[in-house]
Amino acid sequence: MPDLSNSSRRSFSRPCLAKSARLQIDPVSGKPVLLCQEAVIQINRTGYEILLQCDGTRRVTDIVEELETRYSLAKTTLFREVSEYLEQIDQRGLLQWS
Amino acid sequence: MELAHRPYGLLAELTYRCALHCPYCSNPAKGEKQSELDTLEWRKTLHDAAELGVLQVGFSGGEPLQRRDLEQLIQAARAVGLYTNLITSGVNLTEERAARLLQSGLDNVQVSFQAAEPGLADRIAGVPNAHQRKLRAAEMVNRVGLALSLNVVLHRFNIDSLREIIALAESLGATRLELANTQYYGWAYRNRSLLIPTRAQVEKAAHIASDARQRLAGRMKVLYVASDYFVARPKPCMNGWGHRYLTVNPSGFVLPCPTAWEIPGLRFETVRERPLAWIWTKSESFNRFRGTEWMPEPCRSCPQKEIDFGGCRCQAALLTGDPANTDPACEFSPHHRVVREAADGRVGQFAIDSCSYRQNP
Repeated sequence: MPDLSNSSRRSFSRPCLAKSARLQIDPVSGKPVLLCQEAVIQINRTGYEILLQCDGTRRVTDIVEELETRYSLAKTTLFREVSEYLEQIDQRGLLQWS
Repeated sequence: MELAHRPYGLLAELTYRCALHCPYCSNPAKGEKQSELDTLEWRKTLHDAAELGVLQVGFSGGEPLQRRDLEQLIQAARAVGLYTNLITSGVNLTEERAARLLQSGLDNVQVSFQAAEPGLADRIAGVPNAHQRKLRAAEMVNRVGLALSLNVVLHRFNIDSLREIIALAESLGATRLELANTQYYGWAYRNRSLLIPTRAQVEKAAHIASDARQRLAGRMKVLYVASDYFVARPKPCMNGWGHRYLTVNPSGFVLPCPTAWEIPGLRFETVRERPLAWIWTKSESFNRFRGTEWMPEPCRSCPQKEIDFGGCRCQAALLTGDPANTDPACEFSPHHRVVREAADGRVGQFAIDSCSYRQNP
């Protein structure tokens, strides 16, 4: 289980992909990947949609609201899943917060 | 198309020329002067690599900043969707060039440091004021807004100041610090008896790195690469021969790893002679040690064979004379004694200046 102690503290912070990270579609598999200095991280569509919004202008709550329009999930569930996901990416040093 | 053996990473060694003379350099120690690939040849190589499935390119050398067309090559790599990393000593970087590198689409800069203390660092590099110029380069990288990571090769002469090295990386605002114990190929093998640390030094360093990794989590990623001479098990070299990575050296030879060039008896092809895809899929050199079929005992019946892939072919060739042997870094290798004796054979005091310093080809 990822550590969620930061998730509520960060709900109004704005995540941004680190300068050294890049999100793109792998032309061979057609699936999204997150590229950083020494890794190719395979991610799923939902992860891709979350990370696409990590541009430093949206708060975590904004991202959750946006996803609410696309997924038929309760807001609390979405919030938990988005926070967990961002925490995983943050643990790898691939997010900056403002 | 999904290849069973798909390359994800290309190491593009643009030149063997370098301003520094580090005695642990992994470049071939028997370097011959060869004609470097030109801009067009590199552009084609980058294009072909992306078609083959490569997602990341590391521009390395030698010193890749010595190539005036570096910016063009970064642009070409980005145009075909590659993630770009520059592996540099930093000594000749200017702020204008750093800005141009950023504009060209560079994703990350990895600057090497030799030590934290300037006098020692310059003695290791074999060049006066190298350390000072690296500090300036790191500041320039930050100032123009490029992502900075640091790499420090560890050996007997700098491993005891690991805490200071970590502090230096923190103070420079690096996002990542790679602490890599020397791997004994090329010049490093030639200088092994001087560079190899003691077991006590290595164990202490591993603890310091582990503490730093926890303390700095989320701020700076600390990666510690242990020496296979001290851990009794071989490294999963390149994640398997011809499986995920390829190297193109300055004159265009396509290699499964940067040091494979020195394996006797293997014939490699250049991108001038053959298409990259043919070399990757069909060449004898890339197929020679693919998968597990080639393995002798004790690898063949070993439960670890899909984990470490029998270790490193270059090391097997270098230390046993046969690249098809089990890597002698493995405690089950019949040749393991040569590694253990090198690791435990250190006595007396030695000076860095006694090393054979790297020469340009």
